[in-house]
Amino acid sequence: MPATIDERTVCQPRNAEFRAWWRRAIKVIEEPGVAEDDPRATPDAISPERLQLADARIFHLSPIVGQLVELWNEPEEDEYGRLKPTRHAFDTSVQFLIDAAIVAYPRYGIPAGCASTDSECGVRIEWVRPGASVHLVVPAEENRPPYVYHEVGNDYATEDATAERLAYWLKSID
Amino acid sequence: MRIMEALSCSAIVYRAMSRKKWIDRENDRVLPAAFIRRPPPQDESGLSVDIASPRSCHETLRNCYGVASLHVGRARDLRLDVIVDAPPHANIAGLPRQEDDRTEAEHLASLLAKQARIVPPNQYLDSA
Repeated sequence: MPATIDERTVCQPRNAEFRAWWRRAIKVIEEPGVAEDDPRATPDAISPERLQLADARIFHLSPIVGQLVELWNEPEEDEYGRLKPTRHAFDTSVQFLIDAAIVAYPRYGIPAGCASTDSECGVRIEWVRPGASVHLVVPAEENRPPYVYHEVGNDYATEDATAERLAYWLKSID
Repeated sequence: MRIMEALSCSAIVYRAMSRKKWIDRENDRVLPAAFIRRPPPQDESGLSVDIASPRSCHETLRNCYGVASLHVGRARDLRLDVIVDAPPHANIAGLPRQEDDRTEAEHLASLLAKQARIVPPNQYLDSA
């Protein structure tokens, strides 16, 4: 692995190398010390692997993860509601992005998108273009399934999220 | 007693951008996230809008990251309505919540976002 990562270096390796690198990058760290009185509180830090992913300049995956890291560093709440994503929503959305990038590789990449949180600390990632839109919605808590919404021309639907379906619909996004 | 005032289809209403991530600054557009109804007890009557002006809308929040305008008639084309309850406050009524109908909630949020236009800040902020 080169010391300096740019899109040319990370987008070229053989699939097995790519997959192994990603797996190291997304390794989930067990989270100790979540406040017992509020399961949505997210006091602990982001793992170094995910910060590395946000900084890796992988076109356009790192910018989206970077937006999620920004949200992670926001206050717990604002006038509108909860602001900072839950650990579950953060981890699950990053995982979907990475897995979708693996599925799409090498024919497609993850297009530029916009990440936000809902008022309950769930994550939304939206890819909006004139002719097509895709939304990945990851609720704050595990008891509600993440889903993918797509809109291509006049066709639209939602389905429970999988990396394969996310990658499939992201092909519609220029 | 609630005031139920009918707006004309040509009326323009304004939605405050409560979150900076509701605006795609690179492409200067409002994102669907701005039109998703919150779970109860929030947004019981719909999504808040202001019927008076961009400035009035901007002043409703301590931290307002922008103002988007919408034509009432175009919202009605989506079988939604804008109902005034306490002027200048009104609600976009008819949007389902995600937990009730996630597909329609996303679709209508997407359509409203496409209709919305970001109001230039110089129309509601005092110049320095």
